[in-house]
Amino acid sequence: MYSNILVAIAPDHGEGQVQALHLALHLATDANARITAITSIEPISAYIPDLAEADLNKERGARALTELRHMVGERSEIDARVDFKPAAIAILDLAEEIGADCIVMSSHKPGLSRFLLGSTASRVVRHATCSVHVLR
Amino acid sequence: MYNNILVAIAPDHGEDQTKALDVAQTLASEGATVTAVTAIEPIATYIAASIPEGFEKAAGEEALKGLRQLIGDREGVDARVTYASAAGAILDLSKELEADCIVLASHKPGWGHILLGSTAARVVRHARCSVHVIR
Repeated sequence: MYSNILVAIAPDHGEGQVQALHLALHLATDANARITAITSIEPISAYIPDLAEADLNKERGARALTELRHMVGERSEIDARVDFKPAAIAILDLAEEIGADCIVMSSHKPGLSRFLLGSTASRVVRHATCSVHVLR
Repeated sequence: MYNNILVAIAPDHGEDQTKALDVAQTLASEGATVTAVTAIEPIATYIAASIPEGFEKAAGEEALKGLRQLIGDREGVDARVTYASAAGAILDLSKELEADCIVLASHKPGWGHILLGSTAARVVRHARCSVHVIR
């Protein structure tokens, strides 16, 4: 079905993330399809001093990448990436960079705040130029 | 993967709508229910006055015929037409059918979408189940 799939993984989201990886493998045309998993780390608020940010980001990034590799497990053909941007922007930027033809991501169930503000998923769907699968 | 899939088809979209049915089949578990739906947008009241009565119904019948043609000989795909604006119709029907996945095709986003959003973005924002948007 798709040959270049981007899977957005939020390490704190729980079981939905493994399902997203499974779905990406299911949507892949064949074993030659390229699959990239990305975890994004939201930037630290501006009022926290710069000094701490560089070290903290490095540490958080390394931890996120370890978790992501652990989740991907033996499926080593999946490329794991970590980015330091708000989630929707990180996903859209990487999708464009690698020329993805499908983005797979999981989303929270919509509540009242989402009704007003929208979610990362609705932002990605609004701006992506490729197919998007949102898991709930 | 999914047991109850709703496929939203806009026959006027031009692009290959059969892709939505193909994706639905890839996502379907064995014995899954697949429902293809086309929404007929209600005619604005100021226009309705100057259009012959029964126009909407005729459009609906035409859409249903087109839908059946599109489905062709795919097994286990049901065809439905609803008379409501697209995002609302898709969300309502997904609730009614208790769908676990919605598949829909969307235009490529342009300036209008950045400002107004699209039917797809609205569906993703409010749906309680998974959504697959095809571009």
